[in-house]
Amino acid sequence: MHKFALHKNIYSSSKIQFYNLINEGIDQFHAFEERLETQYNSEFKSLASSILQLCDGRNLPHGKRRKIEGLKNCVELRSRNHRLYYIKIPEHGLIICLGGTKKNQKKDINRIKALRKLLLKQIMDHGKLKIKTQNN
Amino acid sequence: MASSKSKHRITREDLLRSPEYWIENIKTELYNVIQDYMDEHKLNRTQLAELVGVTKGYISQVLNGSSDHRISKLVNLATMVGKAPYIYFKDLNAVIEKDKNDQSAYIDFQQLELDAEKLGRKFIKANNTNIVRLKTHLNNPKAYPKCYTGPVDRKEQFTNPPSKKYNDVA
Repeated sequence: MHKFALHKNIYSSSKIQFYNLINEGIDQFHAFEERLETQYNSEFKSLASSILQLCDGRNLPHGKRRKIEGLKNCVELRSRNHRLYYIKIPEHGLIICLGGTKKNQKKDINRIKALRKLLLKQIMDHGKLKIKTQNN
Repeated sequence: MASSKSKHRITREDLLRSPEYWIENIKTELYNVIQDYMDEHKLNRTQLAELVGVTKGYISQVLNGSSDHRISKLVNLATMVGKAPYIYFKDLNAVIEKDKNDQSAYIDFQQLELDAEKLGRKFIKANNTNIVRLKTHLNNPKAYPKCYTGPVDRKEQFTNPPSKKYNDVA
């Protein structure tokens, strides 16, 4: 069985597609949302707003979006205490791979590097990632 | 990380009903205005700060999207870079309904204005053509016997394209 698949992100539009990475059956974006304490709901909304604005083709302020150095096509969306990482993969669109805290930024970037390799390997070996429909 | 977990996922509707989305929207709009101005005039943050009479720190906050602006500061900055900061309030339920039909909640006012101008020009052109036809008909009815000469309903003139309402004699 393949390790990775995708869900369409609910904040995505038809113009620009954002997907959530499903890693071993777990939707990484939903897992990130569920891990957040309610006090961070506001930050989550700020990150979700960034996705919506990117889907409208808008340029985000420097503090909201940053390209990850040394990692091609990897971008970090930022809120005060949290980070959301996505990768641009040709013929797939933008894939949200991981969410985490500002504190764990370095570790998360290393995880993204490893994830990216595995993702590209699966695509090379088995073709495009499958887009699954969400239950809710 | 979590002790009290959020029980329900934030839907698109929740997001559009939240102040957070609209605050981010305004911050992004302001960032784009300032960044465009800096690019156009080839200015860095320090030069822009000196030019508009604010601190470099404030410009950085705007460009990072981290500042929660006072209305007076926002208006000051906009006018300093030569922009009139219009504000437009739209019915939120209508915005959400539009979003459900895959139409963005974001309004690009510049594009909207350009489209309206284009449409206006098209309308004026069509109307002028109609007037010319009518004048020609009055001067020479034999040449254009089918031309409409009755009273013109102003409302209809605005809602129907002239070529469909009146006999096309061209």
